Amino acid sequence: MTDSAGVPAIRFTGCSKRFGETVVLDDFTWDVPVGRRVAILGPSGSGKTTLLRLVMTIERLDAGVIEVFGRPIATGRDVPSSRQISERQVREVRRDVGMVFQQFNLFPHMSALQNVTEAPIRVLGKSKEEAAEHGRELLRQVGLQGKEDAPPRQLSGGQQQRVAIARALAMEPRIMLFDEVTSALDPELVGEVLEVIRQLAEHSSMTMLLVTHEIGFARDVADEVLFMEHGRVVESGPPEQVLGSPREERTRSFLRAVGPH
Amino acid sequence: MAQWIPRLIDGLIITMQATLLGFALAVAVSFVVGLGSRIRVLRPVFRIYVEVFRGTSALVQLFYFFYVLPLLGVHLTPLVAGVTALGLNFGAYGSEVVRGAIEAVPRGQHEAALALNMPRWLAMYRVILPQAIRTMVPPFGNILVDLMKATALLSMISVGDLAFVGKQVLQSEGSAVGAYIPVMLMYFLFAVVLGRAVRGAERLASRGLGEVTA
Amino acid sequence: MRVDLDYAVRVLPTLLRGAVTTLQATLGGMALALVLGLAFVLLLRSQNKWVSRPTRAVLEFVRGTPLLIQLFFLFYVLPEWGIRLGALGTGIFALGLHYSTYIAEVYRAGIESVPKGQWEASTALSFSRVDTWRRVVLPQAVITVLPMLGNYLVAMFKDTPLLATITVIEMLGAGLSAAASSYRYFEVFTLIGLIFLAMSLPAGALVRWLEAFNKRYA
Repeated sequence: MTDSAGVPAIRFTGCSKRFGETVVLDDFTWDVPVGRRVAILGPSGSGKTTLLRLVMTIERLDAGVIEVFGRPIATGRDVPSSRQISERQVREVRRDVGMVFQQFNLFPHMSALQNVTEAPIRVLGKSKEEAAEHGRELLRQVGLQGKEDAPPRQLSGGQQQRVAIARALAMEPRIMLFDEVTSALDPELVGEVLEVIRQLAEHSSMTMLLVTHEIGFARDVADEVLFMEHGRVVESGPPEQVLGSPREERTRSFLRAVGPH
Repeated sequence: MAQWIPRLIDGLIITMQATLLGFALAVAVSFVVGLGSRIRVLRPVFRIYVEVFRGTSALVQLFYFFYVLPLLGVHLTPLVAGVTALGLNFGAYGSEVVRGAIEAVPRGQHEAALALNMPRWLAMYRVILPQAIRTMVPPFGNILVDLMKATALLSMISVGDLAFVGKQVLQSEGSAVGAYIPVMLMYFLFAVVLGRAVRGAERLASRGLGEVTA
Repeated sequence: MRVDLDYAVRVLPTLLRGAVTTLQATLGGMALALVLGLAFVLLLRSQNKWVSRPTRAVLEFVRGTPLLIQLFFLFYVLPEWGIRLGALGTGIFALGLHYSTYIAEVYRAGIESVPKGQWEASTALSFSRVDTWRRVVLPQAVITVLPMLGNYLVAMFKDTPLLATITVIEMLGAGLSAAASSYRYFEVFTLIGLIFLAMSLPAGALVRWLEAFNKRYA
């Protein structure tokens, strides 16, 4: 494994991104060590979701480089053309990254199990039997045994999001990105999704970036908290420090605003 | 009058052939152009095709294929010329349907496919198109019925379709009512049958997504 | 094949004279379709099912049969019934009748696009029935309806060459008789196509502008 010799799971070097006039990421440099669970907090528009979308290559980087296990996955327009990476290389590196979305984004025309097995069969080239077996196992892990044949529209929001987690896991990524995965859920469904992620954090060694508004969950699962605003890091550190006794006034007022935990 | 019935039925069969062949060509063209327009270098060519065929008259296009192509050394039978003209004409409208339906699939679906590391062609084939096709069915149903009616133009380039037989009846019997009432009824019945088929296709297409059907 | 540009220049005025007839037919047909469409939608909305159902059947029938056949039918039948409109008049009548069945649906969509709350609010403000229509419903419905009517206007414009088949000397008719003697089909049909494009492209752009305008303010 290349990540043994201190190579970070994700390395951001001088990353910038703007949408029109709005700067959402400003000269951002940061290493995520292998196996680290990072909770990313911040007010809306602080750039935290964009950070994940840049790693997933959904958004294009304006400047800088993002590397995954030492290999570039995204390069900014400022990077000389000799160091730009091909679509094929991006796909190679992207294999290690999985993502769960705020809006689930399940494929509505496929059953729960098909959602989970589609990419392993067609992208990883697994046999149908192998993918189905693994898919059933993953659905069982997220508590959806018996829902294999259900189409997404027959599942609750919490169940859909758990299918989405299983779908991402089926690709066996070494890094998982969770983008506000409970924000679109009714309050009573939030718990079941967070519990699945908690279990996952406990029983795997995956590197995780979690953009969330659930402060209690961040305290439980994360071993690092990053507080962002206006595309910059306001402060970062262990959860008990950032959430318990924040150094920065901005962090304090944000935590006060989202309520006591 | 009764002696005309077999002739009218022959005409109806040709109308049906022209409708189905023209529609098959229109659908094929729609997908080629609708999907091809997503490739940047091809876009201007397809744009010109769509604007020219939507911006001019179907009958003029038909005459162009029938009168001008032979001058360029391309000799088509009237039916082939007619079906080609109709297919290209309605394909121009259909390509906009395909393009619009693909664009109407939520962005999140593209993003989810990307996050599963699907190459773009696979995401299109397995994720985007199956959803887009459901939105395409009703507008393609309209295209089918419009195309069926437009096949009557083929009688102007001596294709022996229903409209052509109608004109023959008129010329030998001298009664417009006797000639065209049966012809119109046959067109109308065919339109009703096609309309039924379209609604069946709509139900079939929406089933997978569980949309409420009226 | 050699392209004869001199011939193209010589035949152009003939085609443009035909284009004037094309425009007359389009505008006349549209005016008739707007009026007939209104009549149809009123009959369609009648509470009496002995009125609304036959109306619906007539609309379905006219929409389900080719314009070309309707054109021939009227061209030969109307004189038999003692109605003499002339070729252009018959063409305008056929275009207007055929498109009125679509325009009736446009009107209906326009009326239905006005939210129920608007009627209720008008009642609450005790507007008269006429005022409700004139001041509240129609101004909102017109905005929805305008781009759809524009689309049908352009579609009708492109259907006017059918009138050549009943001896109207519009653009195609003029072109056909010119080409029949010169045999210069390429020049004639290319010019006709270009004239069509020159008129329908700006019209189409206007319709798209109206649609965009609607999306912003609807």
